[in-house]
Order: sequence, then C-alpha cells, then structure tokens
Amino acid sequence: MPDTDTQRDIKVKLPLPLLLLLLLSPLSTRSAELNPFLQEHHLGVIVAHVRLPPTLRKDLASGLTNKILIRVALSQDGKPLTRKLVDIAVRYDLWEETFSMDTRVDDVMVDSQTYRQMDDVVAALGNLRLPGLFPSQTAPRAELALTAELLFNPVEKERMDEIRKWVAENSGAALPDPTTVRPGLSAPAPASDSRALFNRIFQQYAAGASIAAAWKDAGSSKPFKVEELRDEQAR
Amino acid sequence: MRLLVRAAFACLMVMAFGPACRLARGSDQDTKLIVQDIQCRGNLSTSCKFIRGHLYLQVGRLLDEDEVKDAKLRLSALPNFKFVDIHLEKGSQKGRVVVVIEVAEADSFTMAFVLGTSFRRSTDVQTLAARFSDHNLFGAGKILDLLVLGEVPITESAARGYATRLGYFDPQLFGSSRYFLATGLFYSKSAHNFPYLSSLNNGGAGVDASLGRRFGSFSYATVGYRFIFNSSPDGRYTPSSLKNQYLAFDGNLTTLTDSAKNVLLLTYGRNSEDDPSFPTRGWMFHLYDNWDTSRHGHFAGAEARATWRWGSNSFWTVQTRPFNDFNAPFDDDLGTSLTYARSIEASDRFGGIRRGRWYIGPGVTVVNHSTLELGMKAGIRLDTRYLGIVNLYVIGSRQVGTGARY
Repeated sequence: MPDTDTQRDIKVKLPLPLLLLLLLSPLSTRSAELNPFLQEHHLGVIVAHVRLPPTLRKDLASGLTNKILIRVALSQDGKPLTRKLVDIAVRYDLWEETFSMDTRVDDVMVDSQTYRQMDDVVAALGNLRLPGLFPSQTAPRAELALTAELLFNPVEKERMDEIRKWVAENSGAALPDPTTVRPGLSAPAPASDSRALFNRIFQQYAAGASIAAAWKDAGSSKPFKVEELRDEQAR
Repeated sequence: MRLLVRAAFACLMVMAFGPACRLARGSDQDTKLIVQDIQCRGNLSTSCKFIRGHLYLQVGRLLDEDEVKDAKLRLSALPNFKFVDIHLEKGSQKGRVVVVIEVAEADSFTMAFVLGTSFRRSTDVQTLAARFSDHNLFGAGKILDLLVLGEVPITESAARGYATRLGYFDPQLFGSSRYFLATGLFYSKSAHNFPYLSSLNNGGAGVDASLGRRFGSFSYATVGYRFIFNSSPDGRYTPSSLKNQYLAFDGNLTTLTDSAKNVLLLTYGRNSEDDPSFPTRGWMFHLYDNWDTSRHGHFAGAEARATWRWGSNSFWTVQTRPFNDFNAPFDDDLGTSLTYARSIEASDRFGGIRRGRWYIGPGVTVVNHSTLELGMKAGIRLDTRYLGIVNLYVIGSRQVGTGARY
C-alpha cells in the first residue's frame, strides 16, 4: 500500500488542471459500455469503461465515504420496463489501510469487498459487475436494452436546496450592494473554479433533476434477448 | 407562553423525526469516528476561524460525513476559494480523526471599468469610471471598495467633474449571517462653464453608514444615515442640475445630486438575480426613502428589474425607475427600458475574455407631465482576465412633448 500522505502531497498540486479538465468535460458524454449477462436466472450487467472522476484517487484516500449511485433501467422497444438503484460505498480505513466497497441494490446489501490497493478499487469501479438485478422471466423473448446513469458522490435535491439557500444568504448575492443595482460598474466577486463546480450541480437541479453530481457518466447496451444469454453459475 | 409552546413543539418534532431524517440522509454514523481536531491548510490570507466557521462540527463529537460534504459544498460556493477539499487524517489513537480543510485561495482583488458616451438632453458627456475591490479584507471576507468616476463634457454646456467613494462592506456583521454593514466616505468636485458668465466650481464630501438585515433568501432591509458636509456651496441656491453627483449608498450604490445635510436612509428590497453583471434570470426591486429629518421631507422611489433567458444565448431585461429620472453616471440609462442581450463566447482576444454580452434596447424617461425622453442604449460588457469587468456603451435620446427643449 503506497503512502497515502505522500500521494496527497503530490496530488494537491494538481487540482486546478484537474478541475479545468472536469469543467471542460461535457456532462452528457456517454462513455460507459453495458454488457448484459445471465446468472442463476437473473439478469445482471457489466458496466465497463466507466469514465471516472479525475479526483477519484484523491477522494478515495480522503478517509471519507465515496458513493456511486447507479440507476440501471431495463427497457423494451425504447419503453422502460423496470429499474434498479445500485448504491456503491467505498471507504478507506486510515488504520487498516484497506478499502471497503459495499454494494447495495434497492437498499439491500448484495456484495462487500475489501481491497488493499487503490489500483484494484479503481479497476473495480471502472468495470463494475452487477449481478442479479432483474429476474430473467422479464420479457424473455423480447428485444431488450439496458441503460445506466452513474453519479459520483451525488447530492440530493433537499440538501442542495438547503445549501443554495445558505449560499444566497452568505455569499452577498442577495445584498443590495457591493455590486450596485445597475450592472454597469458592478464588481462581482472573483471567478472561482470551485464555485463553477457548485454551479454545475445546481444547473442539473435547475434542469429538473432530482439528484445531481459534479461528475456523471452514462452508458447503454446493445439490444439483446434474454434467451440468447447463457446462464452462468454464481462465482 | 406561545413561544414556549412553539419551542416545546419543535423539540418534540426533532425528537420524533430527527433520527428518521438522519437515516433518510443515509448518514454514515456507523463509522464511529471522533473528531479530534479541525485544521486548515493552504489558507494564506483567510483565517482558519473563517473557514472552520463553515464546518458545523465540534471537536470531541462524532464525525458526521454528511456535514463534511455539505461544508465542502458551502465553501466551494464562496468566491474566496478556487479549490476546496476536505479529508481525514489519523488522530492520536484509532477512531480519532483530524479533519483537514484544504483550500486554494482565489485572488480577492477585482477591477471594473466603464467608458460611456452619453448624448442626452443638453448634457453630452464622456464617462470614465473605475472600481477596485478587495473581497477578502482581513482574510475574513470583508470588502473594501474604491470607486473613481470622471465626466468630460463633449459639449461646452456640460459639466466637468469627478467623484470618488471609498466604501467598506461587511457582509456578515459580527459573524451574523443576517446582518450586514455598509459604510463609506465620498467626495466630488465639478466645474460648470456658462457662456458669457463666470464658471461655477462645486466641491463636496459626505459620509454614510447603513445597517442591513436579510430576510428569507433574497430580501433585505436597511436603515442608515448620511451626512453631507457642504450641500450648498457658498451658501447660494444651486439647481440640482448644477450640483455635485455624489456616489452614495442608500441601500444601493447610487448617485445623487440633491440631498439635505442630514438624511435618514430607509430601504427595502429583494434581489434574486443569479449574477450581478451577467444575470440570466431572477428579478429585483428596491424601495428607498431618503428622509430629511430636519425639514421632514422625503425623497422616495423604487427600482425594479427582471431578466429572463430567450433561447440558449439571448436574454431580455426590463428595467424601470418610475419615480425619478436621475442619471447613474457609471451606467447611464433611461428611466424605463427593455434590453436585448446576447452572450459573447470566451476567447483569447484582448488578453482573455472569460464571458461577455452585447446589448441594445430602447427606453423612455418621464421628464415631467408633458415631456418624455425617448432614447436608445447599446453597449458591450466583458469579463476580461486582466481588467475585470469592462463596460462600453453609448446612449442617446431626444425629448418630445410640450416641455421639450429640442
């Protein structure tokens, strides 16, 4: 296990370029690939080539819990049939120097792994195997497709509303002036990249999202039929 | 008694629903980490006390990860920092952690410049204005603001003058999230030339201070006081058109040409605009009353503005000041106007443009019951890398009606 403090020292020097990268990356880009599989009469999905946040390694070593929310939807002829909510929590134990990764599907714990190396965690997150999501009896002969939306460290709307209210009351935006009623000679506060990050989350809510994140990825599978998949045994 | 009942009810609600709310947020209380210390890193001019004030955690208590994440968002939303991160480090023993808030401070110094050309009524002037602000005075988020404004006549009949204001703004008075303070010193000097007559030189200074309180998310009220050292030069009567244009604060930064020596300032307003220079939505209104306490006279009025998006890059703004026709020399406009604006994309031109807009729109000012001023304003506003906000505009008008001079 590498020395995490040393890692942090190195990476602290990178946030601005990383943030710029983050800001320049379009949120709507879909990069993840979804491959369905059948295991013990249940349909699962491998989410491969996930576009991970540039700050992921730093976030993983923070000692705080990192959450990845995945909304997986099964659709038939473009119409949604059913969906599942997958919640992955990764936490670094500062003393044991291990990473625990717990996976829940619709609030039920389905998997728990422990990793000693950060590279293994990153590899696991980049190629997620999510078994047992949907019963195989769901439209066995129909042409189906899977879609997934991945949100890294999502923020619920209620929390965001609270924070936005706090910001309005504390950032000076609601003040009569330091900036003036007229915008001509307004002296707005300096541009802030971290504020841009905040704005990105808020813009998702403004667009009607119920949950949002500073980093997202999405993907879809090619059309498939359940009867074409080979039923695997559990590992 | 009613207060007691309310408090008891609130306690019962918290006891009944508090744990459920905590569970609903998916808190990670099972981690059972104790906060041993809270430290700041990367802060050079911002005090750790100011930073820690945004993290509602207490040393010796259980670590609340949701609160840590909320604090990161709160700090990220502040203009003081360009980067914020929070992580944990091992404490003195297992289960005890040090919460480290790591920041990279943003440059707290901003500038703004205006170059305006105004062809209005009989005063054709060129306006040059500049504003320099430090948004992190004392490392505590206080604001020091210097405004300098000069007017150069294009036609001989207009005045030549300048005005300055040094202001101090405390957005969180004594750490309060509700109360704020605005105070400033202002000075101006002008010279009027008259054909066949001697010129008139004016100079004046004043001081103002306003205490404000926010209500809800976007509303505010202020009460203040303004004192002008010499409102009537040489003891002579001076028409308002020949008086100095002070850069004063009466709840909003404004210009005034006519004021008593002692004025009580009362304002109420709401401002939900999302950006002071480039609003994309929201609306504001501002009601003010300058109360001459010695003569019991009132100078009251209102301003309102609303902006909405039209398509992906265009915006409409409607603005009105229905009860007065004073000019704002740093951003001259007509009493009621409708403005169309379109975004300018970021580019490397002029050393770097972060964002910008050009705008154009007609307007009308009610000069008196029989005279209207019809005009048009066009301009460009840029957020530049080196000069800050730069605003260039041209405004022209013509008076119509029985009282029109031309």
